Amino acid sequence: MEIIFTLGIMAFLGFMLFFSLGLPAETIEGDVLGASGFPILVVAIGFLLCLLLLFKQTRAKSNNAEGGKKILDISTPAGKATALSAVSLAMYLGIMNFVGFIVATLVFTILSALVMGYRKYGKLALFAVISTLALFGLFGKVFFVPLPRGIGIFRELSYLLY
Amino acid sequence: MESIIQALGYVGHPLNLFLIVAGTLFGMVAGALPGVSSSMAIILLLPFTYAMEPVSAIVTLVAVYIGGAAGGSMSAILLKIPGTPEALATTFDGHPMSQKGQAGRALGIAISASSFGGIFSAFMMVIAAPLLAGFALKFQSAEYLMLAILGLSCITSIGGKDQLKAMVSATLGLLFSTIGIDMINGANRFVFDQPFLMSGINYVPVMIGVFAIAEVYKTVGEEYGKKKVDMTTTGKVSMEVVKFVELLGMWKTLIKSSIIGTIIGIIPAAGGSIAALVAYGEAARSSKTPEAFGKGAPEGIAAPESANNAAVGGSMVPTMVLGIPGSPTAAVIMAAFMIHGLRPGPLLLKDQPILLYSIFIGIILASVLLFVGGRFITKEFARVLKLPYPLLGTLIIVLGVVGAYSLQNSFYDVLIMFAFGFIGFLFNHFKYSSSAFILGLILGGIAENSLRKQLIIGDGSWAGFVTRPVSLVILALSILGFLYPVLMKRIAKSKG
Repeated sequence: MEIIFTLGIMAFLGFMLFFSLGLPAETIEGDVLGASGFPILVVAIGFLLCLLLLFKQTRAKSNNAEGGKKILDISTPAGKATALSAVSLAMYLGIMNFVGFIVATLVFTILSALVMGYRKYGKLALFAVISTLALFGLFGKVFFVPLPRGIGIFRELSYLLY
Repeated sequence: MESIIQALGYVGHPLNLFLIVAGTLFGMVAGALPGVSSSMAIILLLPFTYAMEPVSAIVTLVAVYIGGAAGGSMSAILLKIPGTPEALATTFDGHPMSQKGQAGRALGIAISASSFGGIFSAFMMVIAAPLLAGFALKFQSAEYLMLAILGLSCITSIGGKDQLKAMVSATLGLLFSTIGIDMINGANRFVFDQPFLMSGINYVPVMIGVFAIAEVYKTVGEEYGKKKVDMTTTGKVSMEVVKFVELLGMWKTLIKSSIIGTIIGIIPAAGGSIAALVAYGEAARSSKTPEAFGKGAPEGIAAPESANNAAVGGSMVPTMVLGIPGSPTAAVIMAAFMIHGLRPGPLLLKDQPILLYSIFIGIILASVLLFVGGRFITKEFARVLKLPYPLLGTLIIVLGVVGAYSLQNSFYDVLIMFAFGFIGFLFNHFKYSSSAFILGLILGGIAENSLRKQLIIGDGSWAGFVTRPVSLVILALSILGFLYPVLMKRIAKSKG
């Protein structure tokens, strides 16, 4: 698995090299590197280091237990919880622009804590309300951050608060 | 002497004392919140200073600056979210110490070191301001490049067991720093027709993603279902007052880091984050136990914290003496100077000596106040650590989302944070170094731009990097800093 990850990094370096080669070279007198020079230099160093790493990993492959470990085993409860945490964060970000910061944060806080295994529902509801209002007060009111308002009715309602 | 007494009279006025206390506390709270920088806190406070006397206004803003530089360490230590970019290096050892159940000690060291750095730089500012400002002007592109290389040289110190992976991580960080419009010739690089990529990838959302979000995923994966997740401590967390003997044991680190911080602070546009990284690298290099770095070494907290607070005083030197701001935050303070009818420059010190001494006394007072404010704010801030992990983890994620968003009020920054949460998770799994990655991302821009500017100045010649004495000295230090941990590791291995 480790070797595959290193190969993935090399593939990414190759991708960046491909686009670097299309960048303009020297356009200003004396700028011998141009826009492409530095990325190409970094990619070259990256390739060299990855090759060394690959060599090291191939040699150590036989006695490297960590290398065979799955990145995320969703057949286990812990793996499932991790994956669901990521999904719930994606959903949070997805709905925030539609329902606004306060509603999205309230829903996410409850959902995320449940996904992570919290089961005291009363305390959770209280925590969700307090933490959402505290963050809204600090960022929205004290530091004047224009937090997302959502659309439609959520936007109208948000004007009552901020 | 007369000016000092007059300045003491000004700053000692009850109203000014109150403003310094309020400014320091406000700065600490702002610094502790990810996405809210010292400069943002000062901008928000600026309108309130319009009606004040110039000395009161400037001293209040400087107190916010000092509080902000120290406040970033709190979230870095307790939640692994650097509250400010300057607190990045504090995360390397602060969070591991916190995970060992010594959060109070880590906070105590951070605040004590911040105080020391602030006071040190205030003295340096008064004693040698004109001299130091002249030195700063000698810094040109070659020296800036070497400074970036010096910062990068600490990869081997933070790389832990696998320095090769740390180097690959730093290389990826450098590569990500090239995304956006090329600052020299305006070419779009790796933008793929996405307007939000044109200004490049800001390192704050990346930092939140690879550190905080990835850490939550990791902890959920490892600890799910366990009755109690021991994150930092099971008891009450409050800042411990570090014993004088312990501080005395770190005197070399504190003084060296404060000198590094003051000097780098003086150099325009270098800033506290580079100062903290360079000081961390130097502390690791010169330590008798470099292997302890990255695992909760006290010097690993003291070095960056004293350096980033020393950079505050340092950045005020070119701001006042030359009218060139030493950091983005100093630029905002310079704007405040002008709003109050003060023109920063060589004549300011001659015409307004009381102002200089008032700022000097203000920095010292604010630095001392960090102890008091630190104890109070830390106690309140650390309450969150008593939460069960599902609630704490959720709070970290929400705080990360709001922090990334607040930076530029941009949702794209939140998406960047989200994406880098996965990258950080993979880095943790395969034991790559997220810290080295961030180091590359922060220093990549300054390294590339300085390299190319020097080449343009030298008409394409590379000689300028080695013919300039300061540049050569920093290069030698970088090579030493890079190779020392590797050589030490080899020597220790050969000795068995």
